[in-house]
Amino acid sequence: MPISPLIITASSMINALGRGKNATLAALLNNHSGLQLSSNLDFSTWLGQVEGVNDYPLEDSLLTFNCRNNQLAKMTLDSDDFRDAINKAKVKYGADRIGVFLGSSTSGSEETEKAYLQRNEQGELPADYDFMHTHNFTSLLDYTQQSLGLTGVGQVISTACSSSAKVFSAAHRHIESGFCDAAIVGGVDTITQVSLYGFHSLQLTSTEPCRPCDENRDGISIGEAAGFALLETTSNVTSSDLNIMLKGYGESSDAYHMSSPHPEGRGAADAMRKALANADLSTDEIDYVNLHGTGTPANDAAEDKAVTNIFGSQTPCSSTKGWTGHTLGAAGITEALICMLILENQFLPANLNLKARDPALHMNILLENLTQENSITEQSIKNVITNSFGFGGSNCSLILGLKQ
Amino acid sequence: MSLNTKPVYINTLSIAAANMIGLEQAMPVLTGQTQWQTAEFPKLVPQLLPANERRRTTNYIKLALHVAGEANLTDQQLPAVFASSNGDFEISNNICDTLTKVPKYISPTQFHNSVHNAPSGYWAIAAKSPAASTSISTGDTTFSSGLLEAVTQVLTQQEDVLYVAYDFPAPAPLDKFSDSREAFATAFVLSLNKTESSYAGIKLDITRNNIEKSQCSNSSLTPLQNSNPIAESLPLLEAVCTKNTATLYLPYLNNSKLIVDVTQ
Repeated sequence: MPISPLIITASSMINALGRGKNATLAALLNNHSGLQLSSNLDFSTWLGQVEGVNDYPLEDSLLTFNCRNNQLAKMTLDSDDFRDAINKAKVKYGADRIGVFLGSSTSGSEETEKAYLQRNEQGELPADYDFMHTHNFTSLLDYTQQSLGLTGVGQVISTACSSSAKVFSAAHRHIESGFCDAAIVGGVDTITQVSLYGFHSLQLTSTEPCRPCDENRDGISIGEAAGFALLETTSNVTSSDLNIMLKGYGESSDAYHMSSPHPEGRGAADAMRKALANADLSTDEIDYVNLHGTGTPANDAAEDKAVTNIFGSQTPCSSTKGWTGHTLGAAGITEALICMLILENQFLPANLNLKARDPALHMNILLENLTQENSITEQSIKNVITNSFGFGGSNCSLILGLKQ
Repeated sequence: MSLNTKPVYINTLSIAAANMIGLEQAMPVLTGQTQWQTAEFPKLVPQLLPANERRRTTNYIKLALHVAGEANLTDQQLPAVFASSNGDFEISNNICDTLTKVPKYISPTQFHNSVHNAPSGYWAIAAKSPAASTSISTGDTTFSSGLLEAVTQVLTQQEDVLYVAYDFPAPAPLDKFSDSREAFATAFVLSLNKTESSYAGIKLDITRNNIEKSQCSNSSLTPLQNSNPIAESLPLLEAVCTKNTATLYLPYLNNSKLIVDVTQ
């Protein structure tokens, strides 16, 4: 069933490529990865870390929410003139009519990791540890709503690596049902010991900058990131020259395994098909696939089957995780906003770090950036799809496109 | 005025709490005929899961699967909304303890169980359901947020939705920092279609007026209502089971209330 599209009227993002959308855009265009070799772990791996988060203070009135995850949230809310846009939206809609839908896999769980290191002889946690304002998922929502002065509907979605893709669907449903008039969607995830040592025990952390789809890849590079976007209905936005829209979303479950994708990519294909149906677009109207592309052989193989099944082997595809790392609960929003940059600036990013393409894959994986200087003609990239797949077999695909 | 003008029907209902494992056992308490008292929460054994998967599940996951299985009477593969304030404290405790040791080894099972959507993932495997499934939290107001999410899915997708809400108490030392002191879970199938076995219809709205949250009619349930964020559903479960019309005010974000108009 086709949905009414929503317009992205403001956005902000921070990841290992830097603060703000321009930093991400410049790094993408210049083939500059944000991954760096980690120096303080028991094992060797490359990470996509954000600089300066620990020194970025929360508002004095909101210090009870203090944790790295909320510090990154604040840094991102302060970026790209996002607060100004929200202040204008508050005047337009009212603070109680703007919903907030956020994804995170970590929230401020790092505070619990730190508190366990400070247990006393009785095994008790330090008295100033505060689970509800840091680790509990609602910490991110409560902090964001209070920081922006919003009082409407909201939720935190935590479905591992699909979390901040699924926020677009929830926002759309709440607007459509009349529970809010506009919505902020976003995601914030920070690197924790749990993700580092958890992925390491699954033998999935790469010893080099991750190389999705490469014959010699050896796993993922974990990253951290945050992103926010304001979504408004077409009837509430006056036309401007370039409007990027959320045109469709598709969600599915693998129903196969807790930490391995369905080998035929069944759930992944299902999510992409649903997104196409509710965007009312045919496969040949999709100009680019932003892959989940983590860099694990199981993910790449399953996604390849799903993508070629639906789009064949001609549609350009790439994973952008060689730039940002796998930002887990923030991957959905990060890659949706990368897709927005792609549509606004009419280029296609390469699958960075790819040296020898895995011969078992049949997707049209981009080996170098396609820009208006080599092969892209103006306004030829009209619609793109971005995939996010998570543990527990949770899949979400989003279609973003230019306003027609 | 309610925002969803069409009622959404609660077509199946399940519950799990101390002395209320299943609707049959809970009905005398929820209809005010007997008093509730606490007891040790029993070990649940979700039969739906294959034994090899079941072995990997925690008490928290088993609680969610138990009520989900009971509510999904027709074995349909429905879109599902899973809601839990705190996630799996047992897993958080085990992993954070492990991380203080050398070597820092987290088992693969512990790691995949640490995601908030672990119950949803196990449910999809158990029910062989490829349908969409989400997992949310808004802390103390999680029951209301999950109900709202499920209702928006029913209204916009015009299909039945399974709603599962659950929280399980924390082990020491996290127990002092959590609002879940009793295990509590409930699940519904929500639908636009009224059937002969529908329990009630509901319409939702939100009020920011300073209204007190609804209390349980059976006052023996009040300690339970205040011992688990999901037990804020109890006034609704009572209204639904007594077949009463009611206007209920459940805790929602920023001290607002979710208004639940219960009709037949």
